[in-house]
Amino acid sequence: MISRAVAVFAGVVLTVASADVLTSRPIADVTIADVAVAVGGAAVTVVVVLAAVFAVFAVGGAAAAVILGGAAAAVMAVVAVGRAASSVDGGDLLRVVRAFVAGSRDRLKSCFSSGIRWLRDSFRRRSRAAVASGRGHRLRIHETVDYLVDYLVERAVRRLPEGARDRFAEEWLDHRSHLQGWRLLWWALCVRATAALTASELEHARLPRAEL
Amino acid sequence: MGKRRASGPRITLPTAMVLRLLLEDPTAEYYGFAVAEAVGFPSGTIYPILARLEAAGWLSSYWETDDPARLERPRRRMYRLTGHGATSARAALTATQRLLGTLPTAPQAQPGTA
Repeated sequence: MISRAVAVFAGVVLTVASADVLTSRPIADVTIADVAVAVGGAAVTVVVVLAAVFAVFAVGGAAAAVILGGAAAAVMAVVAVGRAASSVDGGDLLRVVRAFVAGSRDRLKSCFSSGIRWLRDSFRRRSRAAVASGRGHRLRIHETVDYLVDYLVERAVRRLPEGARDRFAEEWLDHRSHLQGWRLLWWALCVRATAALTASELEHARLPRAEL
Repeated sequence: MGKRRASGPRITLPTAMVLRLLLEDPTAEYYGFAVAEAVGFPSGTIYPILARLEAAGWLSSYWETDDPARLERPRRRMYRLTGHGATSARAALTATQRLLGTLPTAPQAQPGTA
């Protein structure tokens, strides 16, 4: 089960990163070749996602990882070649790699890559904390889950009516003492997904502020 | 709001299940997670129901007073049926059951007659 999840995660990250790099050029410099590559890349991404779903549910864990890895590498290659074709003359292998690396670096520096920066900063922060607490560099999976749960619950609470936020943040905090691991993460995802509905119901109920 | 208070909260299937749980022991106190676990619905369903019932005056709630540091967990919001709530909940469940009883039974599927 974990290998399947890792395979899906790796595939998604690689395809998103490829798309991310592809769109990193300034809009004024975008050429028809870029657009063609973007359309091609999007088509390949769709195929990769469908293949990933098929691989995970029909084939199995290890085989799925191999298929996903190959598919993700194919996407990366298409993106890199397309990028090189539009931005590098001639384009030997080294230039292709350099163009791809330069695009990745630019993208990570851009203000539109906050999601990647958030993950990177989070990883560094937690890594430093792990070193400081004497556990070494290794990060434990439950710390990552806790971090994601914090993030999801915080986003869910923000959707609630202002008067109810503190109360439900504290009530939901209690759930975390009951659940662990993937179950906790699934619960947080559900809370985040139903936050708008909960907010709407709470607004209907209009709890008196004194009762909060 | 007034109309809703006068006629009581909507009795959906999850609401009926929550009320049935609470009526098993009207004096017992429950917290949100316990209700969600017992009823089998996610918290995204349970908390709006609890809020609706509380707004209608069928439930009262309060924060538990024990020190969270001593309990080694966050404090819980406890919910309990009010006297009016218990009476109204019984009446609402009875009415719902009566309503369900008046529905015609579904015709039995005949095998091989698609």
